Amino acid sequence: MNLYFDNCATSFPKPAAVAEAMTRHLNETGGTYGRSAYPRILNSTRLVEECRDQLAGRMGTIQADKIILTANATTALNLMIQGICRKGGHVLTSAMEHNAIARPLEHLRQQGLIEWELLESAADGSILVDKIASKLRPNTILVAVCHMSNVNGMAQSPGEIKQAIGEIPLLIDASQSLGQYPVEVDRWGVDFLAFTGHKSLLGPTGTGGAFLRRPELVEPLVFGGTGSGSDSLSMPAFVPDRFEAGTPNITGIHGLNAALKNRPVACHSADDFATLLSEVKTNKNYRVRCADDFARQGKLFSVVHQRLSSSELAHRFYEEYGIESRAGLHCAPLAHRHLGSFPYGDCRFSLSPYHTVEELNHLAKAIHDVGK
Amino acid sequence: MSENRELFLFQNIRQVIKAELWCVKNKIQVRVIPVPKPYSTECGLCLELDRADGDRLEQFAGENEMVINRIPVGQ
Repeated sequence: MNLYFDNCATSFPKPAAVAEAMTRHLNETGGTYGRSAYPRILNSTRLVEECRDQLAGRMGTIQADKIILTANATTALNLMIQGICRKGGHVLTSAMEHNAIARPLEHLRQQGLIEWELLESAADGSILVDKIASKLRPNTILVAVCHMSNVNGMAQSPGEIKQAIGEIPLLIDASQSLGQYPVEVDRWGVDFLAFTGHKSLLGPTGTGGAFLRRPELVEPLVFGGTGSGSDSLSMPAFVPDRFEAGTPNITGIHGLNAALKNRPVACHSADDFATLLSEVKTNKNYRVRCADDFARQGKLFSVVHQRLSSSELAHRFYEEYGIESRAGLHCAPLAHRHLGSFPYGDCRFSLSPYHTVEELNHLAKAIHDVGK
Repeated sequence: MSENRELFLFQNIRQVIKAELWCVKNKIQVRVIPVPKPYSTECGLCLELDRADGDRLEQFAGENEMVINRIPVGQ
């Protein structure tokens, strides 16, 4: 049985093609990105660009050129937050943020550069869109929001948020959502998006990136060689080169490309997951953290037991049922404050498309039995 | 190199590969080659193809906001 329910931290297993592609690159094909015209390098470069095109399709944009590849979503978020924010600026964010957004914002605030504040939210953390306008100021330079909470799986509505803020740039952190939930940046009008390769996209760690619809608003964070415009000491003005200094994680990108091209068909349905969630909710010893509306629910949820700590819960799930879950604050103290579980956190379960109905039933039984 | 060929220079690798892929899909014979000495390029690589196909590629480049430099071979 696959009892790994910590896919929000990193997905496992991966499609077999991921390891095959990475091994092939390391052991057989080799080659870096661009810069020469021999076949080894050209083939490797073509594959990197294929990955960029695959990602564009997955996030719903025709502008693949505006996707940059980074080591992870945190790097991408730092690039965009630090690259957009200017002294005197005001930033709005949500109550459900991960520290990948909250800490860069707080760092800039402590430097005296910006102010930031939270948008008003419902009990499950979903932003109250009709209250956004009252928070906007003339100096609001960015709205930065995680698309899907890594604590309760609730997905925000980026299209509605963008409509409410007009020309103010909207940055979405799609670390949890991209790969498991619809993402349509062009239709929504999202200006910036960060993603990781190793979670819902089922790729390897060390991969991720950003989509920058308005790259002219962003200053580079990392400077160096790009294999383009090399006659100048300044970074190129064009994307993706402007934001891709240094040799990328070629092996990892080959693995991510393989993951994108070999997405498994889910071994359980949305109804199966809904049934699991409903069963867990019937246990009165738990408070279950999930979206109020199942249509906005990602494949994760967490529980707070009325007597056991989150660490005790996770330990018992593993010791008694072999289930690997995640205890604590999940790097999202703001979300736990909003949900009322700060500073102790909760115990989170996050699914993989590889989980079968049998495995979901095993999880339901474990949650029920441990919770008695 | 044949005098019926020409070179397309691009800003970056992404554009070279994107244009090459488009040529292949449209059955245009194309080669990715190093940029010859007289010319400076942003990325060191360029495409070589028949002049007869050049206008089609230029149109594709324009539609995709690519900045190109089109150079007849032999000049």
